[in-house]
Amino acid sequence: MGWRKVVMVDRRVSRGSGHHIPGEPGLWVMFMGDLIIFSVFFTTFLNYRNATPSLFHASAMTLNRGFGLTNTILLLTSSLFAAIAVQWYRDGHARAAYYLLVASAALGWGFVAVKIMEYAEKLQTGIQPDTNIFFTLYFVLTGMHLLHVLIGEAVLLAVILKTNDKDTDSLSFVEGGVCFWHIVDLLWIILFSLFYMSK
Amino acid sequence: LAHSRFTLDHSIFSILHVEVNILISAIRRFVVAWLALVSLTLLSFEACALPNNMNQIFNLAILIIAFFKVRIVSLEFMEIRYAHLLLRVIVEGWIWLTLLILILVIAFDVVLFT
Repeated sequence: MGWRKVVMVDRRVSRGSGHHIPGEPGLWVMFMGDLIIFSVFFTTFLNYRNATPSLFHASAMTLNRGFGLTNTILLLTSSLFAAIAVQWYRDGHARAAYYLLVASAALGWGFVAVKIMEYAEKLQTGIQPDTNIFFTLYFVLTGMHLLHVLIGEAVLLAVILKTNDKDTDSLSFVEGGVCFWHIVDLLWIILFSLFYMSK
Repeated sequence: LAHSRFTLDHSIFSILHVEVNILISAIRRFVVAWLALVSLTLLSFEACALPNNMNQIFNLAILIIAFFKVRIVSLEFMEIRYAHLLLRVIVEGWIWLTLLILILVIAFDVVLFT
């Protein structure tokens, strides 16, 4: 037991020394590629907003900002649970990590439910992707993000199953999977500011 | 023998004590980060409802706050603060470069295509 604890403390010392890479290094090539693609999307959005500012302002006013705020809080809280889960798992408390990750995934499904309600509300009022350029970008970019949420949910499920497996040490897998979930969160933070908060 | 056992127990106890302190400290950091993220979100949300006629400055402020939040998520939740220097440079590089490009696009009303 004492030996196991020493190994765990050693892991944290190595994390604090600036040599640690959360997850597999190759995973970060995919993460950064994804982030760069979204940077192009954000720039494209601002390009069109500069071209037709009044259209963008009028269209943005029709969005339900309450849905956007709810989804932001859901993802931030989900990220908090996932981050604490990694700490617990690193410390050898796989059971606690398991429950926190289940809670994190549940909040993620809350995001999906709110997003579906938001899309349904828009479609019911006759707003579609071809209504104008604002809504084309709205459906494409938030749709791409929603796809990331669904992939993130699948990754989180795999991470949850790994934490339930007592026989293997899957720290790298858990860290990598949770990092993808945080990327889903940080992309939403920017999308929320562009679509729901700008004037 | 009894003396050695006491020493061993004492050292394991010390390690456990250090470990619990590190865990509590990490969780405290996460909770503080989450409180900052939620506070900034609510602050921006409320500010959005206020009437103002300086839309460009407001949009820049909202964007900068959003990227500040992104930096908190990456440094704290993703633990990039403790990561290998190269990874930190790459992630922070993406944050700062993207923010710079978006600020320039807003500030200079850039329209490359319509």
